[in-house]
Amino acid sequence: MTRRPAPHSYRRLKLTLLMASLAASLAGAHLLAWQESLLADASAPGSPPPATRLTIPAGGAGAGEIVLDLAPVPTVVAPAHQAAIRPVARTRSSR
Amino acid sequence: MPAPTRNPSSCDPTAWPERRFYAMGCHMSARLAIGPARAAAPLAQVEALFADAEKRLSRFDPNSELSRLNACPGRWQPVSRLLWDVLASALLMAEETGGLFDPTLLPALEAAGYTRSFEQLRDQRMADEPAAAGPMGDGALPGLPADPSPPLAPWPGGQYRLIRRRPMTHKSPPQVRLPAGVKLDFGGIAKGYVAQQAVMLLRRFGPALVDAGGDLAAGDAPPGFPGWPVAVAAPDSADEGEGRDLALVWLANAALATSGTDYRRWQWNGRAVHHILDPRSGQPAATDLVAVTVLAPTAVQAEAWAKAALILGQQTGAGALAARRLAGLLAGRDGRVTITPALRPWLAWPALHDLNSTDETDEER
Repeated sequence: MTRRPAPHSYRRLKLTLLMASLAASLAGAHLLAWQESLLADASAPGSPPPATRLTIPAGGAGAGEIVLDLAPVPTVVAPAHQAAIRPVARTRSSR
Repeated sequence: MPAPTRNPSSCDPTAWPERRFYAMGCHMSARLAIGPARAAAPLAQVEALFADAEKRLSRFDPNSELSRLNACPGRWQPVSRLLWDVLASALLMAEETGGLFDPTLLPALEAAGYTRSFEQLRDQRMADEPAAAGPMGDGALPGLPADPSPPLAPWPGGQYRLIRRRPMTHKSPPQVRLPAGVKLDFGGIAKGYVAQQAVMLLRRFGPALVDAGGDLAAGDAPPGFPGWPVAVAAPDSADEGEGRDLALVWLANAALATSGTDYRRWQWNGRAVHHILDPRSGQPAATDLVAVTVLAPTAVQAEAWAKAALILGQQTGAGALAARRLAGLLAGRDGRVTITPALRPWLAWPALHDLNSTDETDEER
């Protein structure tokens, strides 16, 4: 015969789940913040890449246009990846 | 020459089978991203392809097809399909670059002392002056008259337009007629053309990369990579091993060529000269650049524009490449490295913010 768990066991389980969820959220937030800081460091300019401007119809006759300024997607190379790539050939002046 | 023996690895493109050989005055290699047993025969064909091209197109061999053509100005000469195609490519590039690439500079090259292959010039110099530096060293070349005469008269540019061609018919092979005083030297165009042919030959077997003395032509990317990882060597860096590199590029279905004054240079008539002549003067180009690398759809185009941009100099050359949306990297004598925007998508490193750019938007700002 199966015994139902005591009420205090439920409370303990709920508390454990709540604490684990909080810990996971905090860890995730820290990870995202760390990744963003890497991105910011890697793309620290110089001059930023140019934005893209799109002009699209607003829809409907005589409805005018919508202008969108799209920020560029940053493209960076992580330093660790750079060290791992070995070239198979080199271009240089003829010799 | 070593047969390909290493097993391929999808994690390391340097493990793919490679065949190294010497041709057209340069160290060359061809690589195929397939098993060593299957790669052996096609890689051997590439070496044979270059050997045949050298026999036909070398200006240092008096019996080559090119030498015989140069020796008979004013007369229609039958030529092979290879010479015809290389000449067609050269003339096309001459027009495209506004004459900055010019295949008719041989008389000026010879007048500047480049009468033998660079290896012969270097070997003779080292034999006569064992304590001298390498090919980039100073000092007059031995055995040459110390002629104090002034430089050549102004060079009549644009003579490539006087070359006449008759295409092949069912009765006769293609024919070429050179005007008097015009002699052909294809330079890097011939290497680039043959490298492109080699890639087309290898493409049937798998992803391929051909290195023709620093001019690179690539087919499809090897498995697991966006392209063949190839480096742009810094000028004056070591020939072998892990030299200094300016950039790493993922190369696929494109070509990369470099023109520079950092290697083939010597003393002539008491002054330092190099092999990149300015067709506008017939003299070694007076440029603030030491090397230019161009990435283009074909090796012929890359080679021609690398030379043209080098002649133009850092600012004008970079602008000319950028205006044509050509991907290029220009290394100045002052150590500055400039890239054009079109090169950015190909770069594995450096990161974009590390480089100067000729982005038009930046200039407008």
